[in-house]
Amino acid sequence: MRILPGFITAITLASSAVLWAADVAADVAAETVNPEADRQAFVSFYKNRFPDIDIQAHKDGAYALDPAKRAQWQAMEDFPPYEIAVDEGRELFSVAFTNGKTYADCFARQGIGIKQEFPHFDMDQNTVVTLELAINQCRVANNEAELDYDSDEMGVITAYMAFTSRGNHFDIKVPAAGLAAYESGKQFYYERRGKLDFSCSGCHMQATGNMLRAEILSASVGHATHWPTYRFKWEKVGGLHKRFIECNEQVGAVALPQQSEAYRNLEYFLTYMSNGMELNGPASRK
Amino acid sequence: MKKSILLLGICSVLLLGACSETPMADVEQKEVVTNDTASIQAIIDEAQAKFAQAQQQQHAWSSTADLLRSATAALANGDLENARKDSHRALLTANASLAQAKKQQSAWRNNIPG
Repeated sequence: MRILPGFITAITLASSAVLWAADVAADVAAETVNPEADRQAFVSFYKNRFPDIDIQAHKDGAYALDPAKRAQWQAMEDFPPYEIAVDEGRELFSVAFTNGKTYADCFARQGIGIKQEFPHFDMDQNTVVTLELAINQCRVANNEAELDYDSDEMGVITAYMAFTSRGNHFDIKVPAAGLAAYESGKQFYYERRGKLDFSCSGCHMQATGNMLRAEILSASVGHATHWPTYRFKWEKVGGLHKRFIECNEQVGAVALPQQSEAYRNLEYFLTYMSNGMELNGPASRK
Repeated sequence: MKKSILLLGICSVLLLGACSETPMADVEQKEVVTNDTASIQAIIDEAQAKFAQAQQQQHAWSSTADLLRSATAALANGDLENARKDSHRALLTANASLAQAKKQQSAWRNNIPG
């Protein structure tokens, strides 16, 4: 009796495999890396999902989706917990290195109001450069030790630089040389990982707007606008990669180091998806 | 695409009949014969190698790391029963994480809406 189901299974599996292979071949043939088409589809997804919410409102994350939580958050913003970080960052930003130069000497427009240009694909280095990486590269170029990406110093300097960029809009470019990095970030975003077999998109696209325990899952469009962020559970200002680590760990995956190539590529993809959105960092979150 | 999904669904139902021949049965069998220090250490080593492989592919699971730590500690303490259990679980989760990595090489595109 066991032979018959096995035989039928083998036949159906073989047929299924042939059809599946044909589907995949067609998909791959149709697939060309087109970031702008991706972004438009990405934005359309959220417009359809939340027709009553202006797409720009997603820069406030889950607070765009729930009026009660938004009211609480706005009340907290009367005394923003990141304010001290911005002041400390302003001070550290202007402290001269031992060679007399400062961070301002490393960046365009003296480093003021430039966060909307990060991350970008650096042709010379053939890699994605985030603001945090650029800060450390600036330090190394001036014979200073790199900062730990989780350090308070990195947090406050990026908080200050984000603060000076408020109101600007993302305009991330993906040159031909950067397409592979963009696609790698896109793959990371949609790949399932961890024991729970979750992808970033599983929570922030398919399930966005739903509750996960007591929290509302935010939309990914706008995910890049407000970093670094003061999170009450961290009790400090931290960067986007710190949040990536948290997300990966929550699904049972071994997280990657901050500023690893995979996370920089993920940030590149996510930030491109937020092109045209207003920067509003630093922000506060629970 | 709908046809392949339908066929895969049929396969899933039919495969239920063959559940008695799953890899879990092999694992149980192995567990009986690996209740000595050298055999358990070999399982830990194999799980460790596969965990490292999964890490390289950015698909390692934290549960594998936890199980490897507890299996190693149990073995060091002479607790063969728990060392055996945890080493096998570590190997199972390491294999599952590698299977996930392999599948997601193409399956990630299915998660793109539209």
